[in-house]
Amino acid sequence: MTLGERVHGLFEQLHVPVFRYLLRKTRDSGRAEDITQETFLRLFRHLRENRLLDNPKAWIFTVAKNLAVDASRDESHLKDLDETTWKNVEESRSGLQADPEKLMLQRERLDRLHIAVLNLTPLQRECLHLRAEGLRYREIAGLLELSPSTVMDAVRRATLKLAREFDGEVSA
Amino acid sequence: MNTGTEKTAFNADGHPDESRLLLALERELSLEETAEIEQHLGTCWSCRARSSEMQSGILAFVEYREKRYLPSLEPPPHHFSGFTGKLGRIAAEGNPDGLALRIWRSIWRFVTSSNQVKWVSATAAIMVAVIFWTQVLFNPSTISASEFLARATAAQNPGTEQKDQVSRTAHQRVRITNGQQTVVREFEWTVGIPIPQARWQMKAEPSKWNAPLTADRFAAWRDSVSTRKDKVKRSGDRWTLDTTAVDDLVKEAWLVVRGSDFHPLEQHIRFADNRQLDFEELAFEISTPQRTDRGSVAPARIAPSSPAKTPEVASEPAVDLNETELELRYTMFANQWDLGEDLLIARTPSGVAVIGTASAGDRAASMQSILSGLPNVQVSITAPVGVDRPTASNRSAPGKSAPASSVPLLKDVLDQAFTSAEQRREFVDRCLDASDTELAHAWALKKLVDRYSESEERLLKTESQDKLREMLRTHLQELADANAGLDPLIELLPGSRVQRPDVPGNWLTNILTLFAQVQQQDSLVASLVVGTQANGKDAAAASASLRSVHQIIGALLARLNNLEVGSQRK
Repeated sequence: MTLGERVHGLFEQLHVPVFRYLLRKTRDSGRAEDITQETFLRLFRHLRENRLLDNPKAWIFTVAKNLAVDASRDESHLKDLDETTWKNVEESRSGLQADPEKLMLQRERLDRLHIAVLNLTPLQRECLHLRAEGLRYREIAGLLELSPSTVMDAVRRATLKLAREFDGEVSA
Repeated sequence: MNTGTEKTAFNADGHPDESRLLLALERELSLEETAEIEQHLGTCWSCRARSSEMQSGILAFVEYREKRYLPSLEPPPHHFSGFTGKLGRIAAEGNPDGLALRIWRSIWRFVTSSNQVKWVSATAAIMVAVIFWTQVLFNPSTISASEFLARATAAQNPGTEQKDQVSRTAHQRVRITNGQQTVVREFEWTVGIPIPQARWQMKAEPSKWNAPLTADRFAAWRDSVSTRKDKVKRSGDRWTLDTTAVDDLVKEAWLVVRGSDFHPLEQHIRFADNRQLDFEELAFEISTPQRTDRGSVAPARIAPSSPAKTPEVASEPAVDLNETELELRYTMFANQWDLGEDLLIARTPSGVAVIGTASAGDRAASMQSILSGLPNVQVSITAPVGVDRPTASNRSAPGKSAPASSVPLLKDVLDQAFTSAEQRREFVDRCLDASDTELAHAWALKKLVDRYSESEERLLKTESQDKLREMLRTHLQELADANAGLDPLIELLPGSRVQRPDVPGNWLTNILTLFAQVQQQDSLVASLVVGTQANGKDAAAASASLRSVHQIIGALLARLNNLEVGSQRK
């Protein structure tokens, strides 16, 4: 297997989770796509220089994060809610308050899940998304520059909080 | 995740802690440890319930992510179509040298730049399409002014016969502004009968205006005008009726309704002397007597004509969202809604939003009512579903947050110190309350210092900076008061006293350290007096840790007290 084939294989395997991660960081699909590609191109250069790489997945996410941080260094500290997110929240409220016909069970449950996830701390949300993308706690900890126990604690608190919000009504 | 320091899967009480249960769920323990925990779960209902609870949380998140979050994500605009070519070009370059790197960077900038050009072109095309759609296809209007007002009146004040003669009440919250002064007023009326207090006061200022925003009243004014000209137009989801009058105290008024149901949303009145009043409906609902019980699905009742907020000056049309956000935070601080609530504050396309579920239904209603009155603030706060969530101070009672097998580490000490169970319970409750309060203030402090760096504080006006410092000072003082409430517990601890440590560091690092220490202290207090998870510590170790942490908090508070808030954050 050539180096190019190896990087291409990793790209096929990981570009979707990396893109989703970057989309959360940048809220800009074009920029997320560009940074995703640049991340894997850097991976190719890194490997071509015979540099060490114990955990490609952790390396790729870390480089992607750093590139996203560089790209957004001049942006506001406060992350904006995109219009879709706000629209969803507004729709969920209007669905709950003004239009009983919309209170179909599945829709209502998803609305409440959405609100519950928004109610988690940013760290908890980030850890859950990264965990759902397949990263282990140590990898998330390395990416976020936290201790593994902090990440584990965030996941633990978040899962308990979500469970208690939806006590006894886990979907079939 | 198994580390050298974590050699046993179980605590002194014979149960694995929640972290270990989570690691077992996640298959991150060794085979041996996993087998031990699996075996324990087979015999312990309490631990099985906790493990199952975490599993439910994971399932809930996966459900949200797969059904709501992932489908909402934008796809990559070019579907990574250029990646293979780029990779091939780099592979063909050979080892990069300085020149190649510069060439590549130039190519990269070009790619990025051309992407932006494409984006701008796409945006322009969309805007042209929208303008064509709204201005050409939907104009001119297709309904008359009379029909417009009839439908708007019916939407706002439907007849009672539609609902089996049940008396229903309409509640409306309206923001009224004249460009300089803004007030929020609330109105209610019985549905199906003429709306009271609806006459326009031709000379009223916003703070004295006492008429709701109604199509009925707009129609009455229009009918009273002898010479007028109407124009009905549609733009997107909104219909507007614009009526100009001759020889009247009002020379022009326009009413904006929602296209889907003709519900009035805005009203604008321009007087003959060019004064103008703008009305915007912030909330509207129709409730029945059966649905207005506290805790039911109906929102809380709105008091008639009671201003939700004192008038404020809004002289500049340009909105400073930093000021908006600070005002929102300060209002929440003044109402103590920054304590014990986990609400998200974020920027939206048109202002600042506060989102989340409040800890109790009545608090949610108050927040919704008062925060909605703040200019450029969007509020989406829901009441908790079902019964109110238990507060942290309920930890003394067996609840979900504490394992069923809880035994306080200080049980013997407490039994010895207090002769009656009642005294002991009161003492424990006081300790938990103090620790909860302290933790709530620590969270509030941390959120503020996380949000406002020195440079961001400088973006605020002087009075807003003062408000920020007032919030920081108050939280710090109340945290110190709550910390002192734990002194009686410290006195009871076995072991020798320790010297108060010296804590170097600046304002920011001290606040963050304080937050971490208060969190640790809260956990230790709970394990010592009510027996929550002690992370493997016995009574002596937990007591020594608590004494040490309490001393560090005291030292941090003393040092922070000597640092002037805000001015010495370097």
